[in-house]
Amino acid sequence: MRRSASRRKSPGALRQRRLLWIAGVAGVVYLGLGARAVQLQGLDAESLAARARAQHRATLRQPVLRGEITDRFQMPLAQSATVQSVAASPRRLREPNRAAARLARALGIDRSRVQSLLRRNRSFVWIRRWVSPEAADRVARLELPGVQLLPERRRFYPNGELAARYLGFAGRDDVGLSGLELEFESLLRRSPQRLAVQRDERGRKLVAHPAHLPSRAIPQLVLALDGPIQHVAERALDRALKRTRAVHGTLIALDPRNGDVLALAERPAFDPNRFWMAHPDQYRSGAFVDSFEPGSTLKPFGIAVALEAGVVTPDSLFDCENGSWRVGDRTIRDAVPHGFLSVADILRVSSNIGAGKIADRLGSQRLVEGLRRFGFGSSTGSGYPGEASGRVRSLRESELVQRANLAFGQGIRVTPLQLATAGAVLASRGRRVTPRIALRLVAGAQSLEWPPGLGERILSRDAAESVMQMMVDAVEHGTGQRARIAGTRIAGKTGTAQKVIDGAYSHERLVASFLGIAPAERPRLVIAVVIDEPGGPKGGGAVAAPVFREVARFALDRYGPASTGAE
Amino acid sequence: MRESAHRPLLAWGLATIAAVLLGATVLVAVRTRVTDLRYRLSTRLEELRKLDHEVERLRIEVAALQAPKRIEARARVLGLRYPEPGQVRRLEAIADVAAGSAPGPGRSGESVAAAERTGYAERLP
Repeated sequence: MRRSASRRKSPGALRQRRLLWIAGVAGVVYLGLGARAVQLQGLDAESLAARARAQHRATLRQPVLRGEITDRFQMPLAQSATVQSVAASPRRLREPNRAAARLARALGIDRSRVQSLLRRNRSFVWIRRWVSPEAADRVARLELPGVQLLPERRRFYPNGELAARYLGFAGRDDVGLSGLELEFESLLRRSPQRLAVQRDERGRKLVAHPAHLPSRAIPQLVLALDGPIQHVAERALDRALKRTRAVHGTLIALDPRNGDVLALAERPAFDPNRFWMAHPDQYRSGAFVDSFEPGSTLKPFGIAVALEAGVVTPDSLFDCENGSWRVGDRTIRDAVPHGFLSVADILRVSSNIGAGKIADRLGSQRLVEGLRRFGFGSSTGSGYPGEASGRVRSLRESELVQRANLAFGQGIRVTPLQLATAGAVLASRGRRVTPRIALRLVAGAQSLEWPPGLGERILSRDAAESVMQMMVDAVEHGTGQRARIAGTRIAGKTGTAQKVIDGAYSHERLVASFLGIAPAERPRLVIAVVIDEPGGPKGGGAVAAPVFREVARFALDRYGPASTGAE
Repeated sequence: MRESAHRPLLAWGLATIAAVLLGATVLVAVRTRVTDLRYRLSTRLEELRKLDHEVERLRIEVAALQAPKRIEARARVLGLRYPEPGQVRRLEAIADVAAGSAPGPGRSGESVAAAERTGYAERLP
């Protein structure tokens, strides 16, 4: 009876007890979950969050293109692009021979070469670098495990050999190795951009924030070079080298108003797109790094120094000894014998004896100091890598032969660029001119400008004017007649110098040169032409002056003889 | 009496749960949308990268086609040649504009403006 009574009581109590149990268990579970949540979200929150971030975060290395180089009118001279290279992991290849056959067919290369690469026990080998987009597509379609396409940067020179020695080239790793590519390396090369991304569980990369997208602007280095003038200069040099069978030719065209290097041509040249196929000797820009004895093209500068010092006037007369003058134990000769000549005539007929006698009156120290003022014996300040400073040796007053030799360009070494720069001093009527290679660097909204290279006065205007007039006579009536251009007055001076071979002056191996300024009244162009070891006719007037004429005529047609003047 | 006292509490509870659920749903939807957009952005970036590479290639091709040596060779094939002395006539106004100078004596402002209008000035050095 009591039992049945308790049973009757029990359903509610039992349910309540069960509910209490369930609530208790749930409470414990929730308490546990809560404790765990506190641990995860509170106590360990920082370290766990850091671990999670590390698992999801990645940095995407975005290679960026090297800056572009253009001429003064934005004609591209050097550009970079992304190209594909084919690499393989031979250890991961299952059937190397079959893979080699398929790869060779896709790339159009020798099968045995690919086979030998894939047989190497290495984890990485290049199969072929810088392949065409079509070849890259063919390789991608093969879907060979262990073979991959890797993007690389490649430098292109769309004009091939144009200004190749001057521009230099960038190597396989997109680093400037010579020429302007090396000089402006720090401005052209850009560090790879790092893009913060997140990875999902499948390894796909997600941009962390749109604001982190890399900049796509490519810096542009604008040179002072004028592409078409450069082309005509190279073509003229090619013809001269072919005609005379000379070993090397250089032409530099400067704008004397600002020092702009409008053309810097050297032949023979190489194709920088395939720099590895050229001899390293061809990488060198002789205009900057090779010096030579200029011969008579130096005479205008010695005469300018003498005029400046007041020891001569254009009309001063000198006895040119009928072509043979004994100085110390040496005899100085003229190609054509002359009697008395004025200073102007000495330059017009290019008399060595006359130039030597003017130097005699000037004295060694003043001659050397004066030539150094023109920039001979020191760098022009162009900033070109490895630029030579040439050599102007100090002379004692007693060194009569050396002094006379110096007056007509022997015993001194100058670079073609120094010769052009010194000519620009005369053209600018006495102002120092520093060659300006680059006009500006544009990078997005930012721009870096190079100032014009017209500097302080280093020669009186009167002395410069007098020498310019003498140089006009030298072209119109003297040795430089093949530089004449109808309708334009040209100032110029020829040079034919013997090369020193095994310590002695050679009569066969010569350097022909011409320094020209156009138009003489308001110069717009200074052009120095140097032809090394011409065969056949060897004189500067016969070999180098026609090159000047061809280039100057084109440039004057292009810019117009009317100019805003030198100053 | 007790049931009617519990009713507002229950209603509030349900409303709170509904609000939390709604908020959570909106949050999840927004986050899903953001993730989706990031995937699409990544895809677009990849496409952009490929197009950039194509542009790089085409720019080099254009530059190679504009090379003076190539143009000269093509012009010679077409029978063109460099002008002889005296065949070049310069328009002073265009030369002035190209040099960035103001019209000088004997050069009218109208001719300078005409050169600028025709676009010749931009093409000349």
